[in-house]
Amino acid sequence: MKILQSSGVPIYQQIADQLQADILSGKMKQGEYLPSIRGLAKDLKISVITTMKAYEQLESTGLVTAVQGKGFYVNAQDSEMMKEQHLRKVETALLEAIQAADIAGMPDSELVATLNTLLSMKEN
Amino acid sequence: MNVNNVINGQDMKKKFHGFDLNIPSLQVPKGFATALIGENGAGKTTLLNILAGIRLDYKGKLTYFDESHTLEDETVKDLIGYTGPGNYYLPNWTVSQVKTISELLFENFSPKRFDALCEELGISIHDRNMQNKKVTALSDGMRMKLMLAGVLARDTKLLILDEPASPLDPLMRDKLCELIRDYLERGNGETSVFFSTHNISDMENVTDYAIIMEHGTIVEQGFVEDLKEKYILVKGEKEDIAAAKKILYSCSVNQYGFEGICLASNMDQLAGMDVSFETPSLSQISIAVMKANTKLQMKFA
Amino acid sequence: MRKIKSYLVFTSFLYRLMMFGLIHLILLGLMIVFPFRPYTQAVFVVFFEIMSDNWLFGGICSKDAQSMNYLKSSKKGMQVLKDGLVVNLARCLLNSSLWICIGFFYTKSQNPEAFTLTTWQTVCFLGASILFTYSLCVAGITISRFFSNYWINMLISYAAMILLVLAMLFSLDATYLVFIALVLAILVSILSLRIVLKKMKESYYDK
Repeated sequence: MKILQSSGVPIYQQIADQLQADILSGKMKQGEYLPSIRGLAKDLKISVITTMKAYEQLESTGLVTAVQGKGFYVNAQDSEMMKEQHLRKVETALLEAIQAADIAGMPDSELVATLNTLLSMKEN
Repeated sequence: MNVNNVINGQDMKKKFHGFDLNIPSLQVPKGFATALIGENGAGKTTLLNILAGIRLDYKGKLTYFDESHTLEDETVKDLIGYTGPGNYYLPNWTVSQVKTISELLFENFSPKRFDALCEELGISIHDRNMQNKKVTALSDGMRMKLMLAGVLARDTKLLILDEPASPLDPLMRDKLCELIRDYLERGNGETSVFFSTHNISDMENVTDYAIIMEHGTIVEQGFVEDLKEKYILVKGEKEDIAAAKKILYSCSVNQYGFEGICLASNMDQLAGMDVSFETPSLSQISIAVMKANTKLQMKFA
Repeated sequence: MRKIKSYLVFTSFLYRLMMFGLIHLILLGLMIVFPFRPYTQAVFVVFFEIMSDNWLFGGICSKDAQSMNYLKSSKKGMQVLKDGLVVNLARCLLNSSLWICIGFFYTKSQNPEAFTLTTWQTVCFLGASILFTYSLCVAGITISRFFSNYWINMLISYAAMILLVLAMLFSLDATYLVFIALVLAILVSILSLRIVLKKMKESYYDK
């Protein structure tokens, strides 16, 4: 795992994202425990609370479950749920784009057009 | 988040020559590293001395470890490791004496671990010259390292460190952070560290909870991640200075524009101004809070 | 045993080398070179005791040594300090006794005419000498602890030595003197302990 100190993305978010990727890609298996909060903080040279926040975020998305005194383990990831997870991620990103468009006063049609342009660019 | 407290203080008061310590409620979370931040003379050392049990002239109720112990308990001082500036050792003690004395003073002091820690921190403890060196002849940095080795060689549940970073060089400050993280990891939620510091940015990556003090009382406290959501760093252009100043919690102005900290809840009031936002660092938050509460007249504010 | 250990932790290697070795050699040498009277030993015991305290509890009552936070951060700190101080007093008394007795009997063996005393008078004379020497040591040590300066220690030890010589010149009938010396020794010991411990207790509070 690598942490960038001044990337603009909060450190807890970077941890949560990377662990989420590991779980969704199946790198971390069901029932496996995440590294201990304080152990990960030590290894990554960051504070305990930052790691804790990352884990809590993962817990809130249902990817992991906390067990009192034992840590966090990876939940069963059935394909349906994984799809759900990805979908939610897409939704969040799109919502963000919609909000930005609102602030910029961009009409919906223009927003859709932009998305289409970006999609076609990707295809090329 | 469910957090227990390693230290619980209520109505802590102390008066001395115009200085007034008055802390209605003090909570230091268990299992974390807590930083005590504040100006010189804010009362940090006084508070830490009270917590370490080396100052008794205060009023109030003080309990440790989930309110299960007070300082009068036989065992509690063995569970607390304290380091601080000023007269810590007797002036005549030599380095090797510190070891033998520690063995006598504390139940759970391990001379073996002490030696290992000294080596790790660059104190050549097996060298005769070093052993016979008086503690007063050591540099400030060396003395700090010796104090750290002394408390870390014991089985404690709480470390109270008064300005541990100040006398250390940048490399050693990094090592200090590592030692604190290691201490917290070994305790697995049962060990806590409470330290005061002026070197906020050096200690930021090991600070979980921050308590900011000004003239004898706590003016802000919270988990660092929460504080970073409570406050937001704002930078803006010259034209908006007057308007922004009213909204910002604290603000500094230069000839090109302004920079300040704003309560996140007031952020929407800045709408319409040409400003950019950033997540503040703990030191930026601390300085803003200190500026807003200081009695000093800041020329550049 | 625990008390002796408390004392030993306050002594550095150099101090031990000096107080348990070197000084006895010097005193022995002095005795052989100047085999006149036991006073010589007494005077030098006073000198060495006051000087060497500089390496033990030197300056403990002075401004720059106050607070002793490390001791205070331990629940046993006060007790360890107290034990150390008490054992040091006992050691000082033992040292005075040892050298005054050795000096006395050595002088007597060299010159059987030197002391024409009955057994009772001998006991009183030795007792008074020992206790008075001890009292001067402790008084000197106690005063010197208010200063961390080495030279002030020396001045104090000179003053004590002169006092001792004067006292011996004007020594009265030893039978009465021994009681006075005993009272003096007890008073000085208590005072010496109380002064240091009070300083430590005070450091828990702002005055």
